[in-house]
Formats: sequence, C-alpha cells, structure tokens
Amino acid sequence: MRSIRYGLLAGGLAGLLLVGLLFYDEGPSNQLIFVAQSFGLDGHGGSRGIAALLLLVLGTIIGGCFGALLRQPTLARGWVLLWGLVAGVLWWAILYLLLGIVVQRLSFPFYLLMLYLVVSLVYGLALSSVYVGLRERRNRYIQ
Amino acid sequence: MSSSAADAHESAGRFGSAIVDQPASSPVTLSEGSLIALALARIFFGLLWFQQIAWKMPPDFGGLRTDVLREIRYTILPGYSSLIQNIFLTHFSILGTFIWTAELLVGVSLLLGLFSRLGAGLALLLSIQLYVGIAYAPGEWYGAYGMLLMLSLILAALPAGRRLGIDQLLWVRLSEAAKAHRLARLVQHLL
Repeated sequence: MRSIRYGLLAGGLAGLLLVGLLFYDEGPSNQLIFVAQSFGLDGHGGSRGIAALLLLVLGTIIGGCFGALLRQPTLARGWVLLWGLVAGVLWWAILYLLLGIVVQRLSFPFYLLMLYLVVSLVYGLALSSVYVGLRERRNRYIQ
Repeated sequence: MSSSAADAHESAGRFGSAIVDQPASSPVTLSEGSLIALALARIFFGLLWFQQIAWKMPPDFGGLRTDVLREIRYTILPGYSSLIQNIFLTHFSILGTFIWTAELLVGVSLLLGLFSRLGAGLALLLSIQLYVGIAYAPGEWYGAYGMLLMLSLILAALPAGRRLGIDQLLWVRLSEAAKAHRLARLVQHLL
C-alpha cells in the first residue's frame, strides 16, 4: 500500500512537471492544444485547461500503477529508473501514437513527435526518481 | 594598554589563528532541495534549446540562413563576418546540419540529464557564438544572450543531471569502472 502511495505522489509531481513543460513550450499552453486534440477535445479555450488536468490525473494514476508494479523493496535503484524510462515511452506511444494518430487521426509534425517523446521520457525519469527517492528516505528512516 | 585596546588585540589574535587553522577551501555540499531545483532549471533550459530546432528543420534549415546573414552584418568580432561569408555560407548545408544536430544534442542532453555537463559545455560554445554574432543586432537584447551564456556555464560547472536525470544511473556504473579504467574517470567528468 505504501508503494502505491509513493507512486501516486511521484506520478502527481511528475505530471505537474509535464504540464509545466507543455505549458512553457512555444508560449503559454500552446502544446496543450495538441494534447487536448489527442483526448478528442477541440483544443481551444478551456479545453487546454481540461487537457492539463487530464495529464495531471493520468500522470498520478500511472504513478500509482508504477508503485504497485515495482513494490518489491529489493529492486535496485537502477532498475526502477530504467522502468521509469519504459513508462515514459509507453506514455508517448499510448497518448500520442495511439490516441492522437490512430484514434483521432491527427497528423503531428516530426518535430512535435520528437518533442513529445523527449518530454514523456522526462516524465518517466521524474516519476521513477521521485519514487525511488521516497522509498530510500523511508528506508533511512526505518534504520 | 587600556582594557578595550587589549580586548581588541586578543580578539584579533583569536581571529588570526582561526583563519590560519582553516583549510584552504572547505567543501560545499548541496542539499537535496538545491539539487532538485538545479535539475528543474536544467530541464527547462534544455527545453529552450530543444524549441530552437523547430524553426530550422532540415533539409532547408528554415530561418537559419536569415539568422546567419544578420550575424554577418551585426557581429562584434572583427573578421568574423568574412569567415561566415566565405566559409560557412558557401557550405551552408554542412553548417545547418552541424547547428541543428548540436542544438538537438544540447536539448536532449539537458532535458534527460544525459551527459549533462557535456551538453552544457556544448550549449556554452553555441551561446558564445550567438553572443559574438547576434547579441548586438537591432531588436535583440544582449542581456538575454549573456544570461544564456552564464546559465550554460553554471550547468557545465555543476552535476545537474544527477537528480531527475539519466546521469544518476551512469554515475554508479562509471564509479565502479573508474576504479580500474582511466577513461571511465575522464567520462565521469562529463556527467
């Protein structure tokens, strides 16, 4: 249960970083337009805010799943970080390739696909780094 | 000697011995919070570089040629404009490929914290080139280029990729290898 809680917290913080990066890129909330369109929203006005909220919620849920899957306390730090990168790639593949291109039939320019891949990897790294940091802090506290 | 003068003398003596006893430079340890803040600065700075490849995409490198032409007119370094005109512009596709690849590498390196000091070093070189070439052109604020340069310098000097980055993973592996291999010790300086 504790590992799920750590995962939820790490996922929420990583999701917040992801929203910050997409908000900051090329002017306020510009990249969130494409994210909103991937979710089937029109990408105008309030839908960007909804997209940001969805990213935050999804990021937190994925963090919870990450914590549940990697709850083994003996799992080495390096492996947790590698699984974080895998989570980032999966996030990119599901959100942009599957939802955006296959389901919504959006055509992302090559630059945007690269940007979303790198930013998704940043999410995965932040998720796994915060998760492993919380776990290690707990272990130090017990000792 | 009056009592106040004696006190002052004694105090100066105490300070003197404290200064003499102190080691040449005491090591500075960054707190976890400072390291996370540094990592966040690295990530957002990396995104700033990554954005710049969007308007100079190959094969024609978009607005890069216009930018290079402005550098010829407004550079602050004597002789630099003829160097750009006679060498860089005549081999524009090579220049474009180099700049695009360099900015992509800087962006990826800083965003992911992968060989972050190497990425920041490359960013420093590109920033120097920008400062010399375009910082004093009309419509540009030279301070922005100065800050670009200084931020690159800070990130080249500090291990910003060791939190929220891949460097934390590489550091452990390289630390083990560094005990036996000189090359691993050298590569460690790039993290």
